[in-house]
Amino acid sequence: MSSVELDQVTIRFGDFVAVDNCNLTIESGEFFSFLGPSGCGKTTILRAVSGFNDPTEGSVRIGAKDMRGIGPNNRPTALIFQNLALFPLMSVADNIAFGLEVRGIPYNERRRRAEELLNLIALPGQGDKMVSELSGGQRQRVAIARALAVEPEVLLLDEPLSALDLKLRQHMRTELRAIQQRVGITFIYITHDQGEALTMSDRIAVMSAGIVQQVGNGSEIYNNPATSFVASFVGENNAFFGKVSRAEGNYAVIDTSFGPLRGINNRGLSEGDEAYLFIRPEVLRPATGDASGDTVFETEALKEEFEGSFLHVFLKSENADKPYKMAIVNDANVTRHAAGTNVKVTFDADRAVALPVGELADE
Amino acid sequence: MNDGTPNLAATQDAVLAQLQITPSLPQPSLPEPAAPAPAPAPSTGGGLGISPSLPSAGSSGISPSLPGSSTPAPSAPASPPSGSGSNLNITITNPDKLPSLPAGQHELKLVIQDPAKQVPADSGLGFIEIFIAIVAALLIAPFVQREAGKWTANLNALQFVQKNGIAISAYLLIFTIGWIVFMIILPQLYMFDFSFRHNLPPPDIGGPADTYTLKNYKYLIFGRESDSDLFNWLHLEVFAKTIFASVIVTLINFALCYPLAFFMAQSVRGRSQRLLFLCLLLPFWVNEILRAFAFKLIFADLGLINSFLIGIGILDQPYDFLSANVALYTGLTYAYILLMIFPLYNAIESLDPNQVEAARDMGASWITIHRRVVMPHAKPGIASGCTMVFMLTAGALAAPNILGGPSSLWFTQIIYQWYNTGGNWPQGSAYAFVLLISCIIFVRIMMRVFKVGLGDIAKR
Repeated sequence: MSSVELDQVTIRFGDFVAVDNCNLTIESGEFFSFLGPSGCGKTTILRAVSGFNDPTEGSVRIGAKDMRGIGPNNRPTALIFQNLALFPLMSVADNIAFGLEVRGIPYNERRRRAEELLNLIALPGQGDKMVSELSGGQRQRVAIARALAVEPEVLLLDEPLSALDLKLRQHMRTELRAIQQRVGITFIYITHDQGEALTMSDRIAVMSAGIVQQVGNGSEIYNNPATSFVASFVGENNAFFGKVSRAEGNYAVIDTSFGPLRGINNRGLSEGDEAYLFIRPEVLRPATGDASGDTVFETEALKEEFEGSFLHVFLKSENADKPYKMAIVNDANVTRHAAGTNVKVTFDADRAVALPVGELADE
Repeated sequence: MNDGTPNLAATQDAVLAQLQITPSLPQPSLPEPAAPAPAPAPSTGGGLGISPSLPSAGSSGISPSLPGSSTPAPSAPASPPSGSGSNLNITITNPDKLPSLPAGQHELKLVIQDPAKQVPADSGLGFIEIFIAIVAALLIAPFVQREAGKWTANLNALQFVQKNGIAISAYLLIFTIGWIVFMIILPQLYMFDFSFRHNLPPPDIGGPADTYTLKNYKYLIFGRESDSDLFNWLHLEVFAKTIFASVIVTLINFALCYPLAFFMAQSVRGRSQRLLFLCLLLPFWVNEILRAFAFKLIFADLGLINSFLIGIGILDQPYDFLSANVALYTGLTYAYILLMIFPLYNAIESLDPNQVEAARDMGASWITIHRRVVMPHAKPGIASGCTMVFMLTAGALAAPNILGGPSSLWFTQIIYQWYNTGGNWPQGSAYAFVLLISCIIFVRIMMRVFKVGLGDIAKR
C-alpha cells in the first residue's frame, strides 16, 4: 500500500493545459475520487498516475518513489478502463490471470488465484466462460478482479460504472466500496457522477478546467464549497448575485436584486466585492407571517412540481433561464403555491454560503 | 450481288467446310436466273450457319436450296443427307465462273462440321445461337406474358425483392450470377476439362482420338516415358521451389507489413495517416513491368546498390543479386505489399486501443501484447493477407520473368511455356491446375493449423 503524491503536476498537450499545477496527497488505503465535468482533466491525471503519460512539469510519486520514466507495465498500479477493455478472445479466468501470465506465474497457480478472485467478486466457478457470456455487472466485476490479480498498490478506476444502468450502478457502488474495504488498497476513482463520488469516497477532489477546485470529504464539499464552481456543480444550488454591502464576523450581507441577503463568509469577502450567495433548494422554505430582514425575500412562483417526498417550487430569479428552486418537504401541512402568486421565502443564514464571483457549472 | 445472282456464303464461324462437287442428275426446268433464296432456317444437321446475303463468296452464280427446310426452294431435287454433315443442293448457273467443270448442272455437296466439335477457342456466340435465342424468347414470350402477373406476385413475396425492388434485385441477381458463372466458373471448368485432353491438331479435335486422359498430370510427376529418370525432377523441383519461395516471400511480407500496419492503425491519426496511405498507394500506379525493370536496374551488376557497396568499400566486385534471386524476392515482396498491409490494417484498426493499454497496464511486454492481444484479434486479417500474398506470389509471372536469375525458374514460367512456346494448352492447363489446387490445399491446411475459418477471412 502506498500513498500517491501529485507534486505541482502540470500536463499540457500542445498549447492546451489539461492539468494545471495540481498538488495532492492521496493517503494509503484511501478511496479518493476525482469529480468533474467531462474534459476537466481528471482522466489525464489518472493516466499520469498509471503511467500512460508523464506530467509536463512536476512529479507523480507513488509510495514516495518518483514515477517519471517508469512505464505503466512497471508501476504498482492497475487501471480499470471506462469500457473495461476485457480481452474478448480469452476466457474469464484467462482475463483475470493475464497479469499473472505475463509475470511468468505457472498455469496452476494462475488458475488458483483466478478462482480465489472469482470468489471475491461473487462469480465462483465461472472462469471458463467467455467474457461475452457475462452480463454488464459481471463483466464489471471481472474487470475489477483482473486489476486486483496483479496485487496493485493503487487501483485506478476510470468511470467504470458509467456504462451500467441505474439500478446496477447503485448496487455496484456499494460493492466497490465493500471490495475496497476488504482489500484495503488505495482506490483512485474518476467520475462525473457526484452521487458516486459522494457515496463511495473518503475524499473528493472537484476539478474544473484542469484546476483542482476543492479537496475534502463529501459533506465538506457539499455544505462548505470553496468556489462558486463547486457550489454549483455539486448538488443543486441557487445563486444570488450581488455586491457585498457588509462583512462582519462569519457573515457577509450581499445586495442582491431581491434585497440584502446574508450568508456565511468563509472565503474572506470584504465590502464592495462582487459575490454569489448560494442557497440550496432544501434550505429555502416559505416564510411565515410578517417575517422580514436579511434572510427573507419575496418573488413570484412560476410553477410547481410534485416529486413525492418533496414539492419543488420554481421561483422567478434574476436570470430567466434559471429559476430558483425551493424544495419543501411533503408533510401534512405543506402549502401549495399557484403559478403567478407572490411568495415570501426565508432561509437559514448559516446554511447560505457567500462566495467570490467565479465560474458556474453548466447544468 | 452486282450481277443479280444470289450468292452463297457460309458464316464465318463455320470453319471447316468441305466442298464436294459431284455430277448431278439433269434438271429439266430450272428458272434462270434463279430467284434470291429465302433466308435459310436452322438446319436439322445442327449448327449449320448459312447466310445468303453475305457477300464473301464472290459472284460465282450458284443458288442454294436446302433439303429438309420448309421454305420453298427454286430447284426441285434434293439428295438424301449423307454422313454427319448436312446436304445442300447447288445449281451452277454461270459455269464459266467455275472453269474446271463442264457446263450443265452439277450437284454441290457442302459438308459442314458441327461447330460444337470444333476448336473451342474459336467458338464465339454465333449467328445461330443468337437466332435460336431470339426464337426461344419469342416462343416463351406469350407464356411469360400470361404468367407475368403471378410471377410478379411471387417475386414480391421474396424478402430480397421486397427490400430492393424488382429492377434492382434482377440486376443484382443477373450481375452476380452472370459474374460467377461466366467470369469464374465456366472459364475455369473449360480449362479444367482441357487439362484432361490430348494435345491434338485442330482437325482431330472431336474425332475418335479426342478422349480424356491423365497423361498431362502424369507428365508433371513422371515426365516422358522414354526418360531415364523415374520422376520428372526438373518440373517437380521447380514446383516445390516455387511453393517454398512463395511461403518465404509471404513471411517476409508479413514481417515487414505487420509493424507498419500496427503503426498506421493504432498510432497515427489524421493528416499523417492519410499521407502514409498515399505514400503506400502512389507507387502502385506505376505498372508492374516498369517496377520490375526498375528493380532489375537497382540490383544489376553496375546498378545502384552494387555501385554504392563498391563505393563505400564493402565489396571489391559487383555481387550478382540477380543470380542469387535477391532481386526476385525483393520484387515479389514489394509487388503484393498492399494486399498484406490493408487486411492487416483493417483488422488491427478495429482493435480497441484500450485493450493494448490494459495489457500494458497489467505488465505485459510489447511482445506479449502482440502475441496475446493484437495478433489473436487480427488473425482473420493476417490470414487474409497471407493467403492473398501467397496465392499471388505463387502465381506471379512478370517478376520471375524479369527479375529471376538465369538458373532459376518459377513454376508459372513453365506453365507459360506450355501455353505459349510449347503450344500445348492441355499440358499447360494441367500444370496450372496442379499449382492452383496445391496452393488451395496448402492455404486450407495453414488455416486449419491456425484455426481460422473461411468466413473469418471474408469478414476483413
